[in-house]
Amino acid sequence: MRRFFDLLIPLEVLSPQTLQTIRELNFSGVGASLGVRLLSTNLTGSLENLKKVKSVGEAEGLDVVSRITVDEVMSEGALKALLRKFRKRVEVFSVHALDRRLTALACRDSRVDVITLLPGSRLLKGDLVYISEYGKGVELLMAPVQVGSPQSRAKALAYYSRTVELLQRKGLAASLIFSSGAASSKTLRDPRSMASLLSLMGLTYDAALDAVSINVERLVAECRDRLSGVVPVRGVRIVERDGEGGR
Amino acid sequence: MVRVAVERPTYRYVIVRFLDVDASILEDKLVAAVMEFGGIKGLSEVEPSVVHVDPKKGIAVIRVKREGLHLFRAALAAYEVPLVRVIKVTGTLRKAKAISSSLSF
Repeated sequence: MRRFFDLLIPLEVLSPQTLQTIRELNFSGVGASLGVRLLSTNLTGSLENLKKVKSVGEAEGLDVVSRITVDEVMSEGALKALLRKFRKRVEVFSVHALDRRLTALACRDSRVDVITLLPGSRLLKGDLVYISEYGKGVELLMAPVQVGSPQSRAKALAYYSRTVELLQRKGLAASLIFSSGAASSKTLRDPRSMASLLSLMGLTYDAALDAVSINVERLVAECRDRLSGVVPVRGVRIVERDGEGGR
Repeated sequence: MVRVAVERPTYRYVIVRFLDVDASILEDKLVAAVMEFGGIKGLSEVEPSVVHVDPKKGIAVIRVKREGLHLFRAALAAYEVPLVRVIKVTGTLRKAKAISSSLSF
């Protein structure tokens, strides 16, 4: 049975009622995202809040994934400093492709797990090679298709269709992640409707379902293994032998 | 003379829970959502119609063309306001009614 994940919901939206709604919508997991602004203004409070959301979510039966999202343009140095400071404190680290230099760095730095594409973002050939080599996720958000003027929504849909086609051509369909990016609980939708929307952008329905379930689950499992030390470096996995308990 | 038979469309029955929408205007709202997303062409592919409503439970069964099911769900997902929440999709109205009567909120 598929386990559905919505990997990007801002932490401030995740009230107990929202978590309950997410569960009712048939999601098994949710990504509680900490934005850069929240991190810089109230670091301790945000991390405490993240812990609280995790415990409430677990009581609700949800797998809450802690995540930092770089959603503002910043210098390469600032991003590297953020990675040094926070990479090991959260399960998923993602960067919005807002700026060409930031996108390039996010793609070539193995500590970044997810590249979030917004309408207008560009991925070059080299970026795609790094994404494939490091097994990063490429995330599309539903929010730009839901909110805004009809023209901006149409542009977002057209951009997503082109991106999906590009990822399929490059054999990266398994890296695709589709999240809500919901700014409120009113913009949350059930995973199968999200997959239906994605399937209209050129994917098969099964591949679209994978983008809200298997692809996310695999990425989260990989990130957790890296954090716990099971994967100390890329390509090396420590396997316990049966009965010996050694490594 | 050759007779050409027009194939009868196949339908799917979508059981939904409606949110903050009056049951009497549910169909109009759904049509508006599909129109906004897919236009007239999209509406012709979906042809949504409310075939069963239980106002007490807030549950409705919507009939859509099988080919237009994904478009219908996508239109609901892309609509800014949440109109309905899809619970289950069935192939027959009888089954849809049975499931909706077994649901309790």
